[in-house]
Amino acid sequence: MAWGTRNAGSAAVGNMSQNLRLLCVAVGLLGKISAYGQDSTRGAGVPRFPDVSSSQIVFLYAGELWLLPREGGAATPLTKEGGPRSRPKFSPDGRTIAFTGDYDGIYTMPVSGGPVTRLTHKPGATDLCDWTPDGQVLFMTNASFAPAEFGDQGYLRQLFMVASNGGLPRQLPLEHAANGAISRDGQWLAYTPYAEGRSEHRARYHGGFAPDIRLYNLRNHQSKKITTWAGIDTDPMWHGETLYYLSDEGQGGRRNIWSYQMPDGRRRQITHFTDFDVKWPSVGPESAGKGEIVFVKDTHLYLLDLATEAAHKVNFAIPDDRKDVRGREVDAHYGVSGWNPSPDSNGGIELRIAVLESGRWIVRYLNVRSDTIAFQTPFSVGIKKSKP
Amino acid sequence: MIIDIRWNQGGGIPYHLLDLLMRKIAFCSSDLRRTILQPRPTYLQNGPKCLLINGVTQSGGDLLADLVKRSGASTLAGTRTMGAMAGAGGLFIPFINGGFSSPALLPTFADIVTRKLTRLRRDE
Repeated sequence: MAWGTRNAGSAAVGNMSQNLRLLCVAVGLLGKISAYGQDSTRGAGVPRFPDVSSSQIVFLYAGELWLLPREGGAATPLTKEGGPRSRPKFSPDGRTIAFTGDYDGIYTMPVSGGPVTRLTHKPGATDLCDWTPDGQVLFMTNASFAPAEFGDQGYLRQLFMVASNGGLPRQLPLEHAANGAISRDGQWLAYTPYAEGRSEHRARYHGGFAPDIRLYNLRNHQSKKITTWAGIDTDPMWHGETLYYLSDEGQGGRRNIWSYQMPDGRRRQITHFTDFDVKWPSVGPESAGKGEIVFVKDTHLYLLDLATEAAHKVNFAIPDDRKDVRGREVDAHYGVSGWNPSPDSNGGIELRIAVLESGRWIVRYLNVRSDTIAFQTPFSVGIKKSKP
Repeated sequence: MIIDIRWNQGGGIPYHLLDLLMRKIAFCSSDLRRTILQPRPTYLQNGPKCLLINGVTQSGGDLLADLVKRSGASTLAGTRTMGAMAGAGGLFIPFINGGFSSPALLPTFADIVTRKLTRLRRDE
């Protein structure tokens, strides 16, 4: 492209940005938005942070908590439009769910739905670990321990316990600890010295910050390290005398479930996935008390039967009113994040715009040529036809 | 002398500290009555030195521990450092969900520095 003189070049650039603004306004006035890639039952999301009771699975999906029968099927929403939540955990009797609200702390609510009870009032990064066998809530926070400032990541935590109806939390006697789990007899606390943080960005990490699992005897206050792998060992879970945990020690550096047998300290790999990591494992009693672990791998929920050590996929459907599928007009003049010409030679372009919907940014694609707008020259834009 | 860089999140390239740790006595000066002996260059620590590190020592802290280890400027004590030089170089690639990637550009540079240090030590 010939730019001519320098001044002419600047003028052309100025002209282009003016036309881009015009384009944005035109999209806002006339653009038809249609959604692509919608699945009728699942949507495009990934379930996260599942937990399982003797009859139900709870998980986070699209920013809300959902309940699902253990056998799979249609999920029912437990919360609505309250902001993101994470780490829901069933109480030992399966009738209450505690969860981390990203608005200020840890809450409990009945499984049948209803009012929430706020349990913690600490600043900083506070996350639920699990219920204790005697029905208290164990959580980790960086509210009062900050030798190094990590922003919102919360790599360094301290463990606290609080009664399920609230009250003053009691700190466990460890300088810094995360991912706590207390054995059924109340004797052993399994924990990791460090938390991995709220983002999952360390794959095949062998540095000094890689978490190892330690056991702390709550009666005689002895502590010992039970994993020696240089990589990730985290998310300890008790079932009877066996401690299950997540480790990437196995083949391919994938995170799989391992076990540590309590009397003899034998460690063993339970799952052997090599395609994707096992994520957010959480232990439950299973309907007959044999124990099972629910987790997410790829984009699906799985249940691992601890008696047979076989994992199976749990299918679920998310009911959707499909309101996003219908074409509709939106005011997107301030939401356009970028645009790209499509490869076809007819001058058509495809716009990628980000639209703010229900507090979330969603990317939509708009074929401008087939709808209402077309580029005429690289530096001018006009409305070719109106939508009938 | 113990330098405690546990919990240290780093920052710039720690060449000032490395410079102090690596100083060796060239000569000593004194007053006319020879009552005070001043080692030169000044600000050097001629006695035993130790750098205290842990799993949270990161970024510039990683680099200092690595340089100290390779140059032999001081003894290391503690546990393996984090190994997180990410962000060095100032390149932040934004993601659409608000996150970002901060690839480490510095290790290449660190390699050049340490190779130079190794050569210095060999020439001594």
